[in-house]
Amino acid sequence: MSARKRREQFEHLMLPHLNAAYTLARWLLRGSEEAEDIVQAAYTRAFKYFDQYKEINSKAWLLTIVRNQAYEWLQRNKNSSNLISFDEAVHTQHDESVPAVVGSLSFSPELLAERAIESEALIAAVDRLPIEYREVLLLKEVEGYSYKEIAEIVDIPIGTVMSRLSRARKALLKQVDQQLLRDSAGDL
Amino acid sequence: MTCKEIAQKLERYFDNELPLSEKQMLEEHLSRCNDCTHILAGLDFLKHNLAEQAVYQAPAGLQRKIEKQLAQQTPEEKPSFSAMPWLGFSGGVMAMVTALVVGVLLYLPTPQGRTIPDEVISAHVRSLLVDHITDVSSSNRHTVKPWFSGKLDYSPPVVNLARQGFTLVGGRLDYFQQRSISVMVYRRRAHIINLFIWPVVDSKVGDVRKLSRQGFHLRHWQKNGLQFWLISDLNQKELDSFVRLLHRPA
Repeated sequence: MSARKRREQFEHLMLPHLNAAYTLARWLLRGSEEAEDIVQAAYTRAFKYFDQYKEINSKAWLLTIVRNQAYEWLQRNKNSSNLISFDEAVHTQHDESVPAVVGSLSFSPELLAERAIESEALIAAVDRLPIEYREVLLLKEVEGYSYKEIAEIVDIPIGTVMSRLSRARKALLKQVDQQLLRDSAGDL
Repeated sequence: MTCKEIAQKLERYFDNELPLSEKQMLEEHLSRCNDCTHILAGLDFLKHNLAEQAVYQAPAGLQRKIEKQLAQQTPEEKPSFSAMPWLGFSGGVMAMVTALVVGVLLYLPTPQGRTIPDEVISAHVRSLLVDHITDVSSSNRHTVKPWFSGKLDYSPPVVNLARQGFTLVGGRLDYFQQRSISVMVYRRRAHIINLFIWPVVDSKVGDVRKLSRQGFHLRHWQKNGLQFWLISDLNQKELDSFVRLLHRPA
């Protein structure tokens, strides 16, 4: 296969995932410029290793590379607020159930659906989550991957996917609830 | 099964990860239990809002940068530049240039990757800045609807709700997400309402989604293979009554 043909095949397969790649990079790194750089680096790297690509799911393969690039960047830029040391064991204590959290919200979910939550508020709430929560939330709720697929992309056991997802949802529900409370107070 | 036992399986059910036999048991319980259904509503709220609002479009130019880079990585090849995906607004280049200049000073966000709501807001603001907001100005749906045929590969629905206080001002073509799409323009008193309509790939029907941003209120829904995005600075109460009117069967 000619070099040109190989490149065209790569582009045809991988460029359609550009928005997904960029979205993941934004979620992980938060900033736009960094996200752009990471996505570019990921595509470069993916192209370099394209000959080794034998997966069925091209997007999952690409997103794994994007994720790795993002984490490498975060390691290099250690002063980034992203790298709050995340101790899974600590977060395991006092694990409320989802029903308990939903029950404790100021707003019922039906009412939540009625009250438009401002995009900035939602994104700000997401940004406040630890990176480990953000990535499983995105892969599940936005990209729609199964637990197994997420386990592969993030390289963790399926059980960890489930528990992280659960905690991420609970944390986000609480954040959103507090945000809405603040907004309501502002209305008064 | 008790609610406590159900609670442990609820998320897996929501994520479609329960085996069929357990799924049926759970659905049986849900049909009788408001509390557990209530919790699902909470999960659903999060999922839809995240999928709607926290999804980004890659910044303009990123794709070209990547293509250029790939070409450089390929030996014996000159970099190839895909044609500039410039936006072809009707209304003339001058109007658009003016609008862009003014828009940059006012509302348009910096060229970062943006979500669909961002894009809708930008398109809405641009339309308000340009001199003519419609390509076809008429309150008669029998004039506006046929105007689009031949210009689009789908047929957008058009209604005039002047009797209810929402006057159809007309329609226009807009360029959005790398395609030509239809926009219906309405007016309620002094407020302009833009209704963006374009086809969707997966045609699930859902509830109307609401969000507010930068002082605008947006509403979003899918129906009959089409996506609808409504935006205005009109207050939410009146905007929602407009949405209800639009949902009435023809």
